[in-house]
Amino acid sequence: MSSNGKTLGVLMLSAARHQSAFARVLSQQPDIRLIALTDDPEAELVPWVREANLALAAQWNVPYIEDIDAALALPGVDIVTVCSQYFRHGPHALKALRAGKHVLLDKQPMGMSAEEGESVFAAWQAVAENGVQLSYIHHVVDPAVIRARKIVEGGEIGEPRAVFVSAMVTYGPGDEEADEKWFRGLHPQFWGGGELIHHGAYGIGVARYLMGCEITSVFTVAAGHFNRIHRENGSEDLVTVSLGFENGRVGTVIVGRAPNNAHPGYADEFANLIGTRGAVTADWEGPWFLLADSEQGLSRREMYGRADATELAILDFLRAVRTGGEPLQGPADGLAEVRALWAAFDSAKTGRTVSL
Amino acid sequence: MIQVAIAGHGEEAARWREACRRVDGIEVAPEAERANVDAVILGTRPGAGLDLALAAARAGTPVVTGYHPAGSAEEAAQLEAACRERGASLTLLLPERRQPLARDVKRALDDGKLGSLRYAHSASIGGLPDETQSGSGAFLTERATPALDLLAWFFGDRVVTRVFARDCSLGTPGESSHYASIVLIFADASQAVCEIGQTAAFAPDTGLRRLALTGMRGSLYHTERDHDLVITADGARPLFDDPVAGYAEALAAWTGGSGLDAAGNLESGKTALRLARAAAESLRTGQPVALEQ
Repeated sequence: MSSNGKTLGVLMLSAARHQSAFARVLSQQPDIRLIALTDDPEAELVPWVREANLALAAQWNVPYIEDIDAALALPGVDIVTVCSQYFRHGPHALKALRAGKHVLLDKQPMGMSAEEGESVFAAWQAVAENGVQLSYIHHVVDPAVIRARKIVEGGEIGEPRAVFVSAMVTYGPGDEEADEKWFRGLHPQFWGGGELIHHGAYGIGVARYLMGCEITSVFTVAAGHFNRIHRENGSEDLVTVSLGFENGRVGTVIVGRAPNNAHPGYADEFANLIGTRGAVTADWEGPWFLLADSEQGLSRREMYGRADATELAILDFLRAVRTGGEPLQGPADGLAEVRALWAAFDSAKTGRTVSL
Repeated sequence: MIQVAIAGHGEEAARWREACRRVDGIEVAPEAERANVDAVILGTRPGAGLDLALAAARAGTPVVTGYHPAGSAEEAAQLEAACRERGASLTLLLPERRQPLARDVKRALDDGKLGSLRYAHSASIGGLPDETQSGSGAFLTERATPALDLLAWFFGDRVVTRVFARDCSLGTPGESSHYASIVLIFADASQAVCEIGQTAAFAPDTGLRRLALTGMRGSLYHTERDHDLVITADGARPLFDDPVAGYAEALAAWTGGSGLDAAGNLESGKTALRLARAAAESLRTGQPVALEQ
């Protein structure tokens, strides 16, 4: 099912995180209309989430509807962008899918357990024949990652055998007491964990995509080191995820948040992929140039060539909606990643390898 | 003049031979005079050359080596006993610590430029060595020991409490192309990842190398792209640091009688061996291995 060139209506579901970026990108598309912003009733919301909802709705001059079912029933709603806290991703995705809407999640997880992920997948399967799309923001869409995958597909490095992915961001509150922005953005009471839940699926997703096969076992070690908010609340900001893949292949994913104002980029994010005939590296913070700014007194990596993963993933999702094709990362990919992610959490708790 | 014999063949022996050539006061004895040398330098890879070391020790000749020649704690004890019985010393030089990059990274750490170290990643994937071993246990001991020693050295007094490892072949069955990823978990939950690999897919003088360290105050990154390049019609390759530099520095420290913590190095060498053996055990069980403290 394609959109046949008609205007697509978007219902924004919660502004807990990143919905403002979604709104900006979506509003730039000539065939997209922002219809409303919705969320659970006030009594069920953390106050700051409701405040963010009201502010974003006002910014985009759309109604704010505190009844998701009623909002889903509005005429002209084709797409729902879910940007609620992770523990609400599953219930919100289920509502939207069962209403027959295309669903774009603000990143993984699509469920707070493998089982919940499977429920969301099943809900999508039930409407898939109607052309309903389900996807999420990911880093597979980064140009460097896509380029590395093309190298693999071209046979240049032979069969991929081992991958190392670093997803270590360099911004954060560090040892300072978290201000309002960081408190809302990182406190585990709102998100159910630390950096493994925030960014783990990014790294796992890139590793899986480049290796081109399924994850079969996970060993994880996680701890809070670099940020006071993580240390004091038992959440993690340094995680090593060791992955076993089909056919005996191996992956290592590092996820973390080690704030450093002097870092030339926003993250140390890259992948090294080793095959039977060679190796390829992909800096998925790139492509970039180094800007030495004498007024700021520091150097920064500036991405170029439209390398914003959020924007690219949204555009890829819209392409799938418009054409009836498949998004780069679809529901099956999301489910596989979520299974690996929760296996990683289990492993971190038990200190044992978990088989999938 | 210190007269030494170099036991063993291949790449490692060649490095020691070249290192001896560069250091004043050391002479490699001709074959006919090897029985009367001041020391035997083991030109063998880590975990290999135990027989050569035992032979030297039983002859009362001091043994000098890069890393521990034992492949297990039992072999290490056997060698130390042999050395004690005949009054022969066993000196580990740990040459990779003397390479310019490692030395200056350590200095930056000791100067507090990164703060308390919490994460490290070291990757060294290169072409096949001229001597090959089969079985991932020997691969780990030979290839990972120097890298594991460096990582432990960078973390200073912090103790590794668990080790987890995975490995895979990088080539066809029977080939010695191999890869391993070893995770070191420290008592304070700091983490280090050591990737090692050797593959026929890489030319001998190329490689994928990286070192990244993140502490509470800062980070440090070094990749093969930071080396000089030679670019020709055949492709581009980095011009890596002189691999013999650390060996020569270590020998100079040994002959100079200062700058060498013999007892500390021996303990470090045994620690690196223990880490490599734990990694091998983790490969066997598929689970992390706890280290006895």
